Amino acid sequence: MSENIIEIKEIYKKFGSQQVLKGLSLNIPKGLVTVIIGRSGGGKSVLLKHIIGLLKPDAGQIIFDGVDLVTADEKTLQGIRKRFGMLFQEGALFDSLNLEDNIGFPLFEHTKLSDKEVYERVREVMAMVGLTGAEKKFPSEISGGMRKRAGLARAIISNPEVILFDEPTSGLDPVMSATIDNLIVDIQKRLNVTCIVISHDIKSTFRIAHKIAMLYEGQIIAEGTPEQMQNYDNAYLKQFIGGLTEGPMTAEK
Amino acid sequence: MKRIVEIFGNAIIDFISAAGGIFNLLLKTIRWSISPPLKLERLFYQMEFIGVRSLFVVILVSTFTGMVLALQTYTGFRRFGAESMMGAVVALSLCRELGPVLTSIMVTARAGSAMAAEIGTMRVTEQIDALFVMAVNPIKYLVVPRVLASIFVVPVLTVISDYTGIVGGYLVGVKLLNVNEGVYINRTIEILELSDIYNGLLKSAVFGLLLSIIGCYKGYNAQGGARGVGKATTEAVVLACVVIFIADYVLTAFLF
Repeated sequence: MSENIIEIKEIYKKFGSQQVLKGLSLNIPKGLVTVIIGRSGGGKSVLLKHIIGLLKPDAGQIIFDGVDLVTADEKTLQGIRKRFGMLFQEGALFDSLNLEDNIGFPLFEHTKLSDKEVYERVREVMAMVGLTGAEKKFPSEISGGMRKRAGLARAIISNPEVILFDEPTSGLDPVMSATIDNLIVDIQKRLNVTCIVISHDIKSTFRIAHKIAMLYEGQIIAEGTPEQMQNYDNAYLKQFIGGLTEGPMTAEK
Repeated sequence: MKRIVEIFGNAIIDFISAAGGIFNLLLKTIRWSISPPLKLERLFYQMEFIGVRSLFVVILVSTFTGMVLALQTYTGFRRFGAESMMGAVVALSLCRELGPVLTSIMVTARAGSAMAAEIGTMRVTEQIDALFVMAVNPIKYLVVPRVLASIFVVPVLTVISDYTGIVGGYLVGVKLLNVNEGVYINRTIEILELSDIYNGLLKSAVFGLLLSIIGCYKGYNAQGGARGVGKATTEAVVLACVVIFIADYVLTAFLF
């Protein structure tokens, strides 16, 4: 595999009395799609928020491009965040703005481009995700799938180096899921970005992943290419990939 | 007994942590409001929302307050033949006390609640996280314009409220209860001092700060979906009203 853009080393995170991350380590290869799978409520979102610096671990390191995000000051972090894009689970579009202002938001905030230039660029990314014609619509007027695509357009508009996806296919019908998967693959190739996806959608995972890591009980218990993961001898992984009720994981957990 | 101590203790802990959180947010707001660039359009938008759209309700409330005040003072003052002082009493009570307080309460009900609800919804739908991820500071983007707008706009509303209240008092006193017009107006001008008016305005600026910072704080820390937003909104209105009344006493004691 190629060089690593992000190296997560032994991070721990506790909320109240609940230890969510227990010495988790993971490398994210540059220019590839890494999918982190795991059960709902298993700490996947928490991990993602650590990668982008929304949360700080109690202990451990997260190295991005040679910089430790845990000890970096706020100014450095601001600079680094501009190199990230993120697609939130429900899109997290701003209700008060229409789609073109939503998608152009990062450019309005951080660049000196004229309105006309921003809207041109907005049109470009909207075409990329198949939203041409919906510029003036408000987030409340469009479907969940469209919201996710708009969120994706906003995530890629400032040409980030890393895009994070928080369950990109959850809550979508199978056709829309496949469309989003194709978009991820397509955009990853076209822009040559690093993608980090968290998901519990196995079908989708095998469609898009170059690398898969399984998170369980606050640690990565298995990682590798999709082929390696298929043949990995781990009871938890087998149960999860197979979607079985019988195995070491129980419904209560 | 143990339970009572527990409940009481928890309430104190909640109160202190809220006070600390609000103070912390205030410091951050000050820091971000002096770090450029300040986007004026956001400030003007909030000034319109908080100010212009509260105008009608403020005028309505203050007119009736002035009217009832005139009615009550008349009933009382007639008993010892001091009707001539009515105008001055109405104007003094309005400018020093009721104008600033009632305006701030109305703005809390209208705009403070909206701040908590809007920012709270943005919190629970990850929109605030999205701002962070896009390297836009949510305090600068959401809190600063609301707080600054409130500090500017609540005193302006208070001026209008003082004025319409005095007009309401005049209408009831002079037109309805037939107090002598010249005496009513002259006594008002004689006794009311300019410092009464601008001390009242100073108070209202402080109330504007308090109601907006509390509304933003409650919204910013909302959690738990729609219910959480509802809870945050209620708490913001109740807390802001209580704090306004307490601050009113403290400021009055020191200012006047």
